[in-house]
Amino acid sequence: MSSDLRSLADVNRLIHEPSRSVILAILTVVESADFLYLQRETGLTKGNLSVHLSKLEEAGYITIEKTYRGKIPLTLCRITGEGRKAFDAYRNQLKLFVENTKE
Amino acid sequence: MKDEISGIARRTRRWKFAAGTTELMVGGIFFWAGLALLLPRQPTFYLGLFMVGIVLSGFMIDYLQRRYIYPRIGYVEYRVGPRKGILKLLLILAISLVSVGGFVFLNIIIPDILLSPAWFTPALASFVGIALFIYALLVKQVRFLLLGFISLATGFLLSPLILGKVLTGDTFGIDKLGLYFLTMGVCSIFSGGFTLRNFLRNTPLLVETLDEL
Repeated sequence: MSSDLRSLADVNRLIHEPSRSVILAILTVVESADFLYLQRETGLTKGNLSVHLSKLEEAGYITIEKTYRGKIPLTLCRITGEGRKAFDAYRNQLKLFVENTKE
Repeated sequence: MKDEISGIARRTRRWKFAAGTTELMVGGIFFWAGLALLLPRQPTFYLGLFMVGIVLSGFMIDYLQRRYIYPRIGYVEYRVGPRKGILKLLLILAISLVSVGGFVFLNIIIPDILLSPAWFTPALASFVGIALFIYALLVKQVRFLLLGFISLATGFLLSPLILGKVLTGDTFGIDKLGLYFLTMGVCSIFSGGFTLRNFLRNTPLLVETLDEL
């Protein structure tokens, strides 16, 4: 197996999970988004989304801030610099893999 | 390789103009500015009315967002990248150059136009119309094209070529400016209102879903 193909084996497993990669993809294009927004865009249940957000936060890829807008409580999520870097690296790895496996 | 990220980004940004709050806010500013200019002339009165109007519009938009929009799509703050910042700056420069160039060109065709207050409102309307056309193309929203057309048409109607001559004897063209602001305000509010109505019809509240085991 060539090193290019083997590179997929080294892919970031935390991001490789479809729900988490979609969450990071959304957060890379916005400044911040709240829980409800992410829930609508990803189609995940509250529990599932909560678990994935916690994992990403633990890894330092996102920050979660509990705040208020008026009287409405908001759980705001933002991607960190580290998260952006990891996500870009993940995308590049996938691109490389697909390009090298083209017939 | 084209990946899905650009698609996700596009889908994420689709909410930006979906609820029509941009037009409602801009329409509110135009409406109160127009009303203040058309009502009896006392600077403190119309400045006060304008300020009160802006604050009221702000409260209304905030209420709409909290009561109807966030419970449907959630709260999102859009990111403006440095590249987009430069593009916006270039766009403003381009519009300004086109406007100044057009104004100078008009001045050559019709002498003393720069000194004539009668042409201020048509010139402003043309500037706003062109800006709206460019903005509509950039954000791919047809309704901004319509607003741009209304701005150009109103400016043309209020120019000395059509109604400007007979509409008012006001030396400084304040009435025409007020009428222009009021027209744009009402049209923007209608546009925002229809967009909001469609948004509320087509975007249901997010229902509670059972978590998977």
